[in-house]
Amino acid sequence: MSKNKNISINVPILSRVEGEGSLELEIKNQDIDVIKLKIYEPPRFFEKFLEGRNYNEVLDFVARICGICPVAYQMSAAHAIENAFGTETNPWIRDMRRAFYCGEWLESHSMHIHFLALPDFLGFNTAPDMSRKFPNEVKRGIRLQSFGNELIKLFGGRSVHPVGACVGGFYKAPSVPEVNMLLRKAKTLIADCEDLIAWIATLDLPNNSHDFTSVSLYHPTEYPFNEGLIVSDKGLNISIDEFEDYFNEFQVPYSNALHCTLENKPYLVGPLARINNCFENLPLPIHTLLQSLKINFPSKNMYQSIIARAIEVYYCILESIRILEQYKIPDSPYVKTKAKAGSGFGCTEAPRGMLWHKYKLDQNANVLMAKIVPPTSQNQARIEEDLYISLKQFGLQKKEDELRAYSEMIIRNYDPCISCATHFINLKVNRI
Amino acid sequence: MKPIKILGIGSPFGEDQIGWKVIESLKTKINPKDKIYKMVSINSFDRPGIRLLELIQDAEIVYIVDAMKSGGKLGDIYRYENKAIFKLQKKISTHSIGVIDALMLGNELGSLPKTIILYGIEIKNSKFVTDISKSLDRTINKVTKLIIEEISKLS
Repeated sequence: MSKNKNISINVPILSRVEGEGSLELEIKNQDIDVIKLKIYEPPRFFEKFLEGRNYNEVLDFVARICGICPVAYQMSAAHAIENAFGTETNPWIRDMRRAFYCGEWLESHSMHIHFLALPDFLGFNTAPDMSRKFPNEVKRGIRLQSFGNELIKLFGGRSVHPVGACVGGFYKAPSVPEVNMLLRKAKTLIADCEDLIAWIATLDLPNNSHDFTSVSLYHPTEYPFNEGLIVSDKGLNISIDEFEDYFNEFQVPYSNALHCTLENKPYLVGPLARINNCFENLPLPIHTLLQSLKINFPSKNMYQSIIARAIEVYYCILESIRILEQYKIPDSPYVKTKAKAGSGFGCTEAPRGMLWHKYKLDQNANVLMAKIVPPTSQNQARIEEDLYISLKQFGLQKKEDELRAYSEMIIRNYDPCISCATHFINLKVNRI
Repeated sequence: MKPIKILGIGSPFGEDQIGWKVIESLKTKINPKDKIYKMVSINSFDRPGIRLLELIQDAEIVYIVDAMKSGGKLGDIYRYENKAIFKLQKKISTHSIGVIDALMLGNELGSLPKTIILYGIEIKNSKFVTDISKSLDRTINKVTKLIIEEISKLS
């Protein structure tokens, strides 16, 4: 136990491709005096890079914002530009976009569950350490992640920074043999998904339940990927073009990334928020499995985010099977667009949560203005709020090492783009 | 014979691009008419993380070129093969979260190719700049030459 009343904990900034993050925590007289999550996000620069670019360059640009969720950036941008042009796509494109998105959720969630989060809960420092005791479980995680990459490649041509999507649909339709090969593989992964959820259900997860607001897309007949209203579990129900009327982006002095609040309050986006808001739209096999395992939602315990991710992994396998089983080569993999001046909005569900885009285009369909609100920025205020509440629940008198490790676990529950960095945080403790 | 893969790992930050630079150099210096190069794929990757295991899974022999910070002199070249890689201290590679950890994970799972050779190049500056020290040009040429010599012996 620390004998000092005043403790200053600084986690230095580490650079990673998906963002740079640090944590500053000051405890005075057994109370939290300062808590600052500092994140440096590249999308701010991308908004400027996009100005003056033609609409047909946007998808290739925004795919570079994140190496883990390029599909999300492409999908939000495609929908926003189609919205500006008044383009209506068709059911084939709609379904294939869902399958494309399944690949990204599978890749991102499997990665986070097995290589970032699980070592925390099983008491290992790294995934290789964990794989010594749980080789089959880790292999299962790699299988699921690899399938996600294959699915992205099927539609995107390659799994990193895919190039297959365009405004109006896809440049090329996958061949039937390619689709059938992945369909066969997907069917073999159902058992893996059920085993994964059952295994995670056995973990003795901490409980830091407290009240917060869950925000996500909501679609009346399906689990949300690309379409829906923006809802919260506190009664919000708006169309995506009303986002700026309710959500406020603002600068905080200690971070390059903008914070975002809903009616001036922090809120959660991501898998747990989606499941909290859209639980009834998960398919029957998932409901029966969860019932048998006595897993209930909604949940206000952020540690259950890992379960939410595992459930969405299962959902993506089932959804990709549903889509690939009905696959037919279309007359055209895209609809023709009529480029024109205007403004458009796109909001889709990235693996880490809602990703909102707005574009203003001139008469040549060049970008005049772009606004991108990524999920990690939206979760920043919520992470700080969670740290404030959970560290107090945990006990501020604990040793600095314990406070650091606990803070990192809290942050990792959100799977921010700085997850990689937070796994290797070097902590400098200054006692005042 | 199964394929040979040569991977340059890097990021756009300063000298951390060195793995990519070696790959660029290799692509210009190999002789495409040489039979062995029909079996060799040469590519650059930006911090692939665990995905490294997927990238190398079909190969029999894998060469990885990556920047390192181990306290040596700028441009020092290190060569590690198979088990020697796993004796490296974690984080010695600038992409420790990917290269060393991913290879250790593959080793634990028994899913690595038969031979893995890691060429590490000592760097100093991995800040947010696009320049790379001119003094590393000689190192890039040297590593290129070493890899070409090794591969030529395989044919």
